[in-house]
Amino acid sequence: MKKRLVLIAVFTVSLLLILPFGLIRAERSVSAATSINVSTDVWPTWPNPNGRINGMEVWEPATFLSIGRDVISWVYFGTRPSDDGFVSADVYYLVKKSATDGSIHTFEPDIAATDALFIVPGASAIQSPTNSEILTGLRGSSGAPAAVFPEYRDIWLSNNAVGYPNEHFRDNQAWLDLDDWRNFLRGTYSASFKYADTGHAPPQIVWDVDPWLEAFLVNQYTPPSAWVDRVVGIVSTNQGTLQGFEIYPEETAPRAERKWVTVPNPVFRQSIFHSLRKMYAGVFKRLTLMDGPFTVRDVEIDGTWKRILVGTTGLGTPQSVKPQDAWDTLAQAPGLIPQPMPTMEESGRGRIFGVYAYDITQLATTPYASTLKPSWSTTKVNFTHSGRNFSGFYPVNSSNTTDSYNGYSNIKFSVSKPLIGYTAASSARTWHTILLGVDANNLYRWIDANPKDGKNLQNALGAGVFTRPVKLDDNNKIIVASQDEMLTAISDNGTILSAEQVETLYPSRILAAFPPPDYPLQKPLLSSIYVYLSNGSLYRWNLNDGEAPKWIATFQNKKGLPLAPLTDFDISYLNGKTYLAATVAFTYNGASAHQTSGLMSVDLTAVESMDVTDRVFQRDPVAGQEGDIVSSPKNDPIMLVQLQGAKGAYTTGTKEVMASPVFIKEKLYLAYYELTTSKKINLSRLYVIPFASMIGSGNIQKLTDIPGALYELEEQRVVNMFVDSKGNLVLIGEEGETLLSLPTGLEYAGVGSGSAASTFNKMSVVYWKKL
Amino acid sequence: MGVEKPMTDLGPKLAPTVKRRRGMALPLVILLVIVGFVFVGVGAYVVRNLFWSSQGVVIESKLYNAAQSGIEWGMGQIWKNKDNIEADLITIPSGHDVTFLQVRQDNTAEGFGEDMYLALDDLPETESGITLTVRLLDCNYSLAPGVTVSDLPPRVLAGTGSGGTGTPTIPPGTSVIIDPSHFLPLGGGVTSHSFVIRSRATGFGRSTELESMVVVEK
Repeated sequence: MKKRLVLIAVFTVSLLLILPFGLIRAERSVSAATSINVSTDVWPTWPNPNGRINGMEVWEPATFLSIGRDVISWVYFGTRPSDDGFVSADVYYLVKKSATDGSIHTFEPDIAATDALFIVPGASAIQSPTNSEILTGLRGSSGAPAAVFPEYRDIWLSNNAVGYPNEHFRDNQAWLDLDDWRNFLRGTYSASFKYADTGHAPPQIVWDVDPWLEAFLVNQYTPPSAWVDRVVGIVSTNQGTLQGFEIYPEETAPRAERKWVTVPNPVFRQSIFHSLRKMYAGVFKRLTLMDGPFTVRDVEIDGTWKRILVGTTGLGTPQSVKPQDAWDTLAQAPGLIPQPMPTMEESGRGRIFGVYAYDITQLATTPYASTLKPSWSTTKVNFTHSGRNFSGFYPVNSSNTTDSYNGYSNIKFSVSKPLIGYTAASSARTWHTILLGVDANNLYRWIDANPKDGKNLQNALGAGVFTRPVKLDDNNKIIVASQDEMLTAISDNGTILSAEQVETLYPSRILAAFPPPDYPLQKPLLSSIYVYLSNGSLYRWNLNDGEAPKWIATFQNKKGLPLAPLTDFDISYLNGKTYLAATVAFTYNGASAHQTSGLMSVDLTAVESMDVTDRVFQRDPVAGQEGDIVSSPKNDPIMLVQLQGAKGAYTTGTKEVMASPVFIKEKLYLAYYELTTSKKINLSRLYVIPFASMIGSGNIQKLTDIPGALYELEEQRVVNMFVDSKGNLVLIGEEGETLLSLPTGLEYAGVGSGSAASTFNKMSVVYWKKL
Repeated sequence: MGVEKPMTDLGPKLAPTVKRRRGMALPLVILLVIVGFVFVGVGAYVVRNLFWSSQGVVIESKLYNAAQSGIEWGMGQIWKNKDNIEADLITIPSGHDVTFLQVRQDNTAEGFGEDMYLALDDLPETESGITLTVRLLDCNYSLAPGVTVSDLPPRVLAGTGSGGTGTPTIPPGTSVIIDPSHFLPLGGGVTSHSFVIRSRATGFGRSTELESMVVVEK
């Protein structure tokens, strides 16, 4: 009996002791979560999905026109189910066998789940990173950026003596399958997509030799030996990756093969959130991580020729606060709901923006962390939510110094292609990376940086501004008074675009032109940088002479809305004059700007001879005017063509230019196609405009009256346009067929660099001797 | 008709003047024999020398001719492949000798490696006992920093430029945007390319090497 009582007592005590823990366990396992009060100052932010703007897509498939090459690339974007749904991309390469049968070959590159993967969680790259290396990089370390903004906190959420991080990137984490993330980066996660969209970053082809340096720096330029006879495609995708493809154009069946995938430093810490968003919402979202263009050029660093790649994260990655139930949903802290949830001061206000650079001089077919080598990067982070006003800035370079980077802290985002070139005011060459972006106050800003380490060459300026010498007075009259260039919002009969949206839809452009014929140095240096801002202003910048950007003109429609650039523009010299060509948004009649666009050519020499108060031009063709009409009033310096198939108030469903307009041998070339409102192919057009004789020659000039000035392809869709190595302008159709091949008059005489070559026709003996 | 006179007999008058002496015939014969041997020896020596000299000249000629045929063959190979030869500057890295300069084919489908050397025809046939070695070396080269290589051919960088000035020009009314994707016919392409042909013929214990520089031009 006594023994029985003892057993009952032990059982009872055991129940009393165990039951509470059992209840806790039970509570944790159900989704009826427990609210836990937290300190919101380190409530993490997550990347905010980016969507359409007024139904318009915010990416740029049109590429800079390729001239004299037989390999080009382009991307198609997949359909998207919703405004913030994931957007896939298909990457294509085209090879024209000009040297043999002239056949066209289009193909997608081969990829594999075993392709080399690199992450850059700081100054160095890690190949085939382990889970531990990834998690260590995500957590960051003291003084280094972390994936968790504003900061990683190992024990932030506490419940019954159990602590959880604000983002569970501990080595012992089990909720996140990092192989899923690796497969996502490599595009082998799902059969439904390989690549995320490429945003504002057109794909690029990298050749073994820079033809400009080869031609003008004879016996001074040494192209990288690791790149001899290679053709390499590079794409930047919003997975957060930069990907490299080896192209084999001379094989019987040309093909491309992916060789590497790398995640640059500013992006590495955001890319993981693709997986978190997927786990939280069940689908991937469109996060703009690697949305920005990149540039590859050969430069001299410390006296040695290097091949470098400099890119930006484009729009950057807007931030929002991490969803309150994410800890529970992701099983990071099951059953726990932190509170109070902070609110963003302004939705999407936060931003992570970065610039990155790689040294790829020795990058051979087989990549290594030492050859796909990060050079430097900068990452700027800022957001304001009710728990924290955060601003962080993280320059990373091999010397670990943080000085001379102040210009980057002014840049909110940059969707313009970085410009790389040199100045040679003295005998030595100084190399520059020029970035064009906007700041938080909607001012356009530029940075002049050293390609070696990204440091500001004009550090005292921080990020420079563009100053226009004229502005509108209170009576809407143009007066001489300086004004810094600002982004312009568009509000036109229902089309409302914020200033930032205008820059997003119509990125400002920056390109370097060869010096004009009267410039004393006839070298490919930075004496004539042209900047076409999304507010319609055009600048020329003689960096070689140490000048500031100089305003040329501002182009607007008749309502004062900007003729913003839709693609890269072109510059040409002819008979002592300088000409500009650009595709621009007309933005009128309430239609979206993409649907009312046109081709513009300008006699800049005539413009610059005018008084500054006369250089704010307000021009547009008659609304609905058909696209075979060139409009340029008598003695006007501007010529416009509306890209529209038929006359009248007809609005197409989709309109797309194939590439940037280009001047060749006194003709201006541009191809575009348009779909009807029912998304059927209406027509494709190729313009071959003798621009010099048509500018200022009449408001109604019919191109059909000029032989060879207009080619129309009814119900055929041009998907690409390029100039091949024989000098033919080639239009490619949907099936990869040649729709049109038109000699431009370019006659190639060189060899190497993938060009067609005229043959050597003479051989002579220089000496003969007996040894 | 004449009358035949009788001969005068002078015998008795001469006889008393001849004296008898001891014979010298044997030494003379011996001397003559020795001299004869000497002549024969010298003659044999001269003939032998003449023979070997002639033989050397013949071998030298054979080697020379073989080497010369190698030079001609090399010229033929360069001419045959003149539009398929790599035009890019070759940089000799550390650890390589002059053979690194052997001409390569311009084949973008291949990686950078030994398989890129130009595919050549068979060497010309030579007389039995003579071996021919021909190297086609590209003069468009540079040396990696700190690298030294012996027996280098003269360095002649591939010629560029238009006309005689070598100054590239952009066609009027054409894009002047500086970008590698804009590969314009600037006239600054490669217009001349120099090569050295080294041909060595070896045989009969001797060798002859000839060198010739040729340039192909547009």
